[in-house]
Amino acid sequence: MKKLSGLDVIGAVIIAAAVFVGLQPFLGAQSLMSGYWNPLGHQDNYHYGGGPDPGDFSGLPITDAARKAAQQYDADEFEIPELMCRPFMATYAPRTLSTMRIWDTTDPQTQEQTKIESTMAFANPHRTIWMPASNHPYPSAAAQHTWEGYSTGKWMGNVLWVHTDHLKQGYLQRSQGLLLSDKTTMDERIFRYDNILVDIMMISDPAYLSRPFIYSKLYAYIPQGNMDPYPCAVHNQVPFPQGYVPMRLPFYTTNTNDLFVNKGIPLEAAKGGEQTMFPEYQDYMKTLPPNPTFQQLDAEQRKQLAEQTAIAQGKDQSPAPAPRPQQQRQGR
Amino acid sequence: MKLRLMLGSAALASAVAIVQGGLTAQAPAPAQPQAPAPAQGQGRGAGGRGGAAAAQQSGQQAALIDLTGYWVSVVDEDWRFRMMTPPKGDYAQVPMTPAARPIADTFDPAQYGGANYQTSGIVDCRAYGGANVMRMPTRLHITWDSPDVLKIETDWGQQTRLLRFTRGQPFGDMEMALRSGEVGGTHGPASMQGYSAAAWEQPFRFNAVNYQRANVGRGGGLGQNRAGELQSGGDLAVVTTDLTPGWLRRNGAPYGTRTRLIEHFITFQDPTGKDWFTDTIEAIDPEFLATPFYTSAEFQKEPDASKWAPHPCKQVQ
Repeated sequence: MKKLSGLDVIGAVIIAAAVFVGLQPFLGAQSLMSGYWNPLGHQDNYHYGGGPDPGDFSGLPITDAARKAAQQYDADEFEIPELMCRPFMATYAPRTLSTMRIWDTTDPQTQEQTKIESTMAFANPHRTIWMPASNHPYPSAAAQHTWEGYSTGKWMGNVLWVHTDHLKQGYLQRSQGLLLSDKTTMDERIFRYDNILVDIMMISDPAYLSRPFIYSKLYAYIPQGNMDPYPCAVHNQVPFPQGYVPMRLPFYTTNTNDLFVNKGIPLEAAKGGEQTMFPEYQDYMKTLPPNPTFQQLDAEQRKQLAEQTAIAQGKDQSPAPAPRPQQQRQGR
Repeated sequence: MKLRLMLGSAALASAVAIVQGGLTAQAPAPAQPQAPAPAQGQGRGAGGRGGAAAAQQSGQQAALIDLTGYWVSVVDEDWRFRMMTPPKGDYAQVPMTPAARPIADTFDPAQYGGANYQTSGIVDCRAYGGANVMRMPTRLHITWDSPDVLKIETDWGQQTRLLRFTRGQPFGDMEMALRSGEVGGTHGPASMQGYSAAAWEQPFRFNAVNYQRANVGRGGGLGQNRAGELQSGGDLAVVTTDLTPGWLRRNGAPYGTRTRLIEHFITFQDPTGKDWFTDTIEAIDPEFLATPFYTSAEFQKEPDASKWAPHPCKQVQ
């Protein structure tokens, strides 16, 4: 075997170094967003873990229409077979406390990124973000709206910009009945630093939001993540009469429970609206009267529910039902 | 022998070309239209020092994003913990150590309005300490106090933060700098807002280059597509140390003197064209936090100071 000269060795080292340097961009590219991500539950766990209390819309830029619709919401809706296995929509799933997996597809010929996909552990909602290299046709206005909508993305530096529309009507926060219409759009700015992924979500809805709802969700990278399937099946866990639709009739104003009252949130603030989002609202809250006690609220609520029950049953009067506030479930 | 020399030279040339391509790709982004274009060079934590041009650049000259102006915090996350004082003993979501709870439980509502302490607006200054001040509902006035010091003032709580760039090292990777011990040490007496070291973080050069390949011409050979690509954007990274004890919540959840903060500021526009920035905050406290505590805060730009309304905090010892 011929002995290698110094030049051979130097040449080989240079070529190896060149190949290494040249490949760096492509090795690094795999680590930006792809992989498993755990949600960090240090903020708004209250809203997306156990679910916020019914009737607490503080800090949310909702319209009067959204508030009225939510006041008719009954959390027993979760038990309707037709709605039991609804996937989380794109505007909601990333905000839940659920593991997320992200993967991307590149064109084997051009090596250009054509799409980025994601799924979440809970209910397995599957999103596709079409990248410019896919040349994917934008759907017509009449195209079907879906839970995850139609998303397009582009990279601006190291920030992924995503726009989503063609969404079905869904919830801003589903365990409260706050609606988002099918005119909802969402813009996102997604970026990573170190092992933290930040998804800034900007949700706009001309029907139920008076200004964009802007929210940051933080995730931590999981090097060895995994995700179980989520085969949702319809089970009749709570027997309801045939045709029963859990709801509250319009124009009833109370929908609070003891957990809400214990948090001390002023009832006025709990109505939400964009004015509650700004620092000066702290001054306004000083002027608000103390909340009624839970017993007082509960008595009023029972009165309203009795009236509602009487109307529903076609009677003028009916016995007051058992206290509902404690029965109301909170969402996931 | 000649053939071998030619091959060796070609390999060397190729390597130089590729390395040059890599360096070009690592060049800092062209900043926002108003901001001066940063010179080539890397800063702290990124494995190299800046070149001659970078050595003369101040933090202000090198700015990748413009954070100056008046901003207002828009509180739609954790409203009940931020906009009002949560009930005594309610520390949900804060990963406190067992040592933290007895301290937090010394919170005395009588000092902050008695029966109405949750909405009295009387807030302890410790809640405006460095680890929580950006989460408090407040307006910010951000200015360049000097070419290497970005100043953040608040109207609620009336605090002042000074984010200090190191001349000649305006760019960097703060996580790398922390790991190497280049930042994160002590700098003198502790204070409510501590000592904050700042650097502009350029876009992930490798990833961005790959994903934006379609924007540049095709060429043969490794590295060809990276040449000439300039990435837009970037963020501000800040590491804060030397903090006096403070609160992570208005009801007394404590952090201690060994707390270290890692923040990233990124700007964006909402669909209506309004300017925003998000500050993500990682608080590490080996004494009172069982795990790092991750939060964020959103701020919307305001046209002027017309809504600036100073509110003092309450000094309680």
